[in-house]
Formats: sequence, structure tokens, C-alpha cells
Amino acid sequence: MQKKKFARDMKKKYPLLLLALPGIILVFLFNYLPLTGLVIAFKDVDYSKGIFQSDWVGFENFKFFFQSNDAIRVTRNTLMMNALFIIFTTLISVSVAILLYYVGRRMLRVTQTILFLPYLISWIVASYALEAFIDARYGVINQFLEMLGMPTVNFYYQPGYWIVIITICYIWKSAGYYSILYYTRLIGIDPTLYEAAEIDGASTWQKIRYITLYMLRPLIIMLCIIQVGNIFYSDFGMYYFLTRDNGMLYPVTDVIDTYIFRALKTINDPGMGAAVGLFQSVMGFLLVVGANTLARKVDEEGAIF
Amino acid sequence: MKKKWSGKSVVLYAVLIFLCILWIIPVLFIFSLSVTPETSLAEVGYRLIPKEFTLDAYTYIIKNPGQILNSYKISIIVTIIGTVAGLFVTTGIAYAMSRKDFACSRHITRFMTFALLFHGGLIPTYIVVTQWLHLGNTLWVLILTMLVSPWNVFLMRSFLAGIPTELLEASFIDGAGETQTYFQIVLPLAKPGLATVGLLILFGYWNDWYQGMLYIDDMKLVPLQLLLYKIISNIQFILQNSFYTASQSGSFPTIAARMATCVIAIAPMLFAFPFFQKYLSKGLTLGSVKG
Repeated sequence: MQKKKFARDMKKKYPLLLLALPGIILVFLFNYLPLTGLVIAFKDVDYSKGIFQSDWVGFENFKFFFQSNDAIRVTRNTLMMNALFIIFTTLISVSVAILLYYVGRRMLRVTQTILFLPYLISWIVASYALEAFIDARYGVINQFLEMLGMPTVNFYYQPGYWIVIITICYIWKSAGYYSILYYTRLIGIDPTLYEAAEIDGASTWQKIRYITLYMLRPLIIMLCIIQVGNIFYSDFGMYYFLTRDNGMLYPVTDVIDTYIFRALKTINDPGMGAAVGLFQSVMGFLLVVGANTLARKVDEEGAIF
Repeated sequence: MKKKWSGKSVVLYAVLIFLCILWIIPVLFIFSLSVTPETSLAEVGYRLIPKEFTLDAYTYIIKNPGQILNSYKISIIVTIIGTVAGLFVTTGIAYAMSRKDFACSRHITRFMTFALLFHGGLIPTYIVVTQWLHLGNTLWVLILTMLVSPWNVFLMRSFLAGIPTELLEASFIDGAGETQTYFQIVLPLAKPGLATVGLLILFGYWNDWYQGMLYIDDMKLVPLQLLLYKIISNIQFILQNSFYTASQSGSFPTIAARMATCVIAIAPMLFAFPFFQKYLSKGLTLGSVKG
């Protein structure tokens, strides 16, 4: 009975399957097929023998990674930088959205375009712009320091500064995107709420606090949860290009993604790289599923899948 | 909101304008450095408003287009094919998922959800692409690897789910088949979704250097963004050999030429953006909330 119904359904709706087929094939090739390649995380890869014929080494690759100092360093950097991004991007983009809402409507198109602009620019181009600021000799900051008679700083040799530099760059690039999201939610607020508050004698701050922020809360929570779910992943391009893959900055700027890239391209240890990648995927998977469950609890509509 | 100029709103305006200036300065820097002569750079350093003005960098590029022109061509080909094909494929699979009455829709959704949540990671993917599919050093690798992103599929599905089923049913009653309904009813209604997802795919392709960096060694196939990176690393190499002598060798792109290349790389996106802008805020919200 069910089979018959299925067959009839398929007969009429097979074009839907045809529409979906190219996508299914591509996702199979580039998302599912690599999963079989995960076996190399448990192998001592020898290209001459082929991947499946290489020797099994059990958890050696994982042991190698977790017993090195690298494991703590890259995990710490990844989590710490992402935590900074989440906190500051949220604070700034919510403030910008509120600002746009209160005064920005007259010049919305211009401000939106300007704030969104960095989102459209690749990290490579951004790294060129960054150089204009922090170049050891000609950079704006060092010119300024020189003018004040202070010693100049060669930022490309000083890891400490990069926590700040990278955070600023990240905010510059993504705050526009997030503030558009928050702004769009704000314009959905019923204006009579504000009128009522005004009649009751509420100050601007009270209105922001009790109406605007209250209405934004579900969206803030949801976007933060999505970002927390991705906290084990980094924007590889940002770290790689802004720092020019400078080894001196690794104490702060080496993250899981740059580490895996080096395992593949520089150190040439694909087995270990795949092991680190698997660690990242599993942690990421658990966090996304956890975050989604949490989102569902906070707000029925909040779950992303 | 009442429109009156109080002291408070003047301050808020000032803050907003200040923020916008902060945001745009780095971009302006790229433009201004592209018209700054090398000599003045060595003299006074990076300046937002150049002391002298020259278009030498641009004429240099126009006269010696070689690699830049070639990379530009690669980027344009990859971006156009990738965006059109990507949008078609993404919408197709998203539509099949959005049709609750379709027997396979739940299976496809499950298939995509897992792809969204769990990645094999860089190295297994690299091995599949280079060793099994033999796509290394081909134009195909730049297009195919990025053609479908599960995230975009879910974004697209949320747009398509917003189309009332009554419209589809009416179309079927009128005797239209699945294909006709899709092209004549569904796609026109999904315009904001197509614009938003199209924009994301377009920028993804245009700004991509990652696939090139992983899979392309052949200079003939290097896309523009990767070329920009290759120019940097060469400059670094030169600087290391003759530290602090702003490279004067005529054959080599100087700082102005690098910046001019950046300008050429950004320009098409600046033109494309306003076209998408009116759909954007609507599209992004829907996507982020119900992706």
C-alpha cells in the first residue's frame, strides 16, 4: 500500500528529484566522500602505498597532537579569540543597530553600505589596508608615535598586540552584517509601545532598556548560540593573511585551522592533520547540536534545524 | 518617532558619522595609496590624503596586463559560471526539501542536515579532490568544490517555505506540471531569496583564494585574490633580502601597484552590491533566523 503510494508520488513528482539530483551528487562528492578519508587519522600515511593500504597506527596521531604543547596553544587561541569576537561583535553591532534605529533612518542607505562594505572585501585586501596602519616604518600608528617622540613598534614581531589587532579587524569586517540583522528586527517593533512608554514618562535610556533590548533579546541569544556552536572553527584567511603566516605571532594567532593547514602544506603530516581535523569536527558537531537544543528551549522558533 | 533636533540626537548623529568614517578609512586607504607615488611614500610614509597624486600604478597595470588580466579573466569565468550554476543547483535541492508533500523531501533534508553539521575536514577533502577526483590544477576545482554549500541550501529553503502552498496547488489545478510550476510560479516568487543567496555565492566565488591556494599551482589558473596574496609574499621575499629599501626595481609591482590591483579587485563588487541591497536586509534576517 505504502509502496504503491510512493510510486504514484514519484511518478508525478519525479521532476523534483531531478532538480535536487545535481546538488545531491555534489554534496555526496565533497561532503560525504571525504568522511571515508577520515581513516587516515588512524594511519601512518604513505602516499606510495596509497591511503587505504597505509599502516594502521591506532590513536598515535591523536596522542602525538595532544601530548604536544601545540594542542593547548591552538585550542586556547581558537576558543579565546572566538569568545572575544562573540562578545565584542554583539555589543558593537547591537549598539550600532540601536543608533541606526534612533537617528540613522535619514541616511540609512549610506550608513548600511559603509558598514557592510568590509564584509564584501577579502581578508587579503584587508591585510593590505592593515599594513598601512601597522607597518614598522611607514605605518600610520608608528608615524604618530614618532611624532609624539615615542619609540616605534614593529607589530609584526610582537604577538601581544595581535589579540587586539585581530579582534578589531574581525569587528570591522563583521559588525556591519550583524547590525543589519539586529536593525531589521528593531524596525519590526510596534511603535505604539514607544508612544505608551513616552506617555508614562519613560526616558530614552529606559525605553532602550525595557523595550528595545527586551525585543532584541531572542535574536541576540540566538545569534550568540550559533556563534558558540562554531567556536571550534576559525576564519582561516583572517589569521593567515593578516599575520602573513608569521611564525613569531603563533603564540597568539595559531588556531586549529591554521595548524591543520600547516600539517598538510608545510609539515606534510596529513595523518596528524586529519586527526586534529576530526577532533575539531567532533567538538563542533557536539557544540552545534547542544547549542541548537538550547536555542529550542529559549525560543521555539530559535532552533536552526 | 518625532523628527526634532535635540542636543541628544545631534550627539547620536555625530557618533554614527564618526563610526562610518572609522569603518571606511581602511578602504579609502587602499584607494589613496594606489595613487600615491612611491617616492612620497618613502618620504612621509602612509598618508590618507596623498601629498602627490599619480596614476602611474594604473597605467603600469594597463601597459603590463599579463598576469593580472589573466587572473581577472579566471575570476570572472569562475564567478559567473559558479554563481549561475550554484544558484540553480542550490535552489533545486532547496525546493525539493521545501515540498513537504514530496515523498523524498525528508530524506533529502536529513542528508543535507548531516552535511551541514559534520565536516570531514580539510585533509580528507584535499585527498578526495586531488587523489580520487583528480581535480587538482583544473578550472573545475575552483567551480565545483564551492558550488553547493549546505548552509545556503537551508537559507534558500527558508525562503521557499514562505511561498503559500495554495499558489502551487492552484497552478497544478490549472494543469501545469512540476517543471512549469517551478519555473513560472516558484522562481519569480523567490526573488528576494535568489538575490540574497546569489549575493552570498557571488561574493564567495569572487573573494575565494582558498581553493586556489589548496589546489592550483599553475599560474595560468590563479584567480585574482590568490594573485594578490602571491604578490604580497613576493614583496616579503624582496624586503627580506634588501630590508627597508622600498623596492625600486621597475619590473616589480610597487606598493601603489599592489593597491591598484586591490582596487581593481574590489571594484566589481562595489558595483554589484547596490543591485542586491534592497533585498538584503530582508534576506539576511530570514536566513539567519530560520536558516
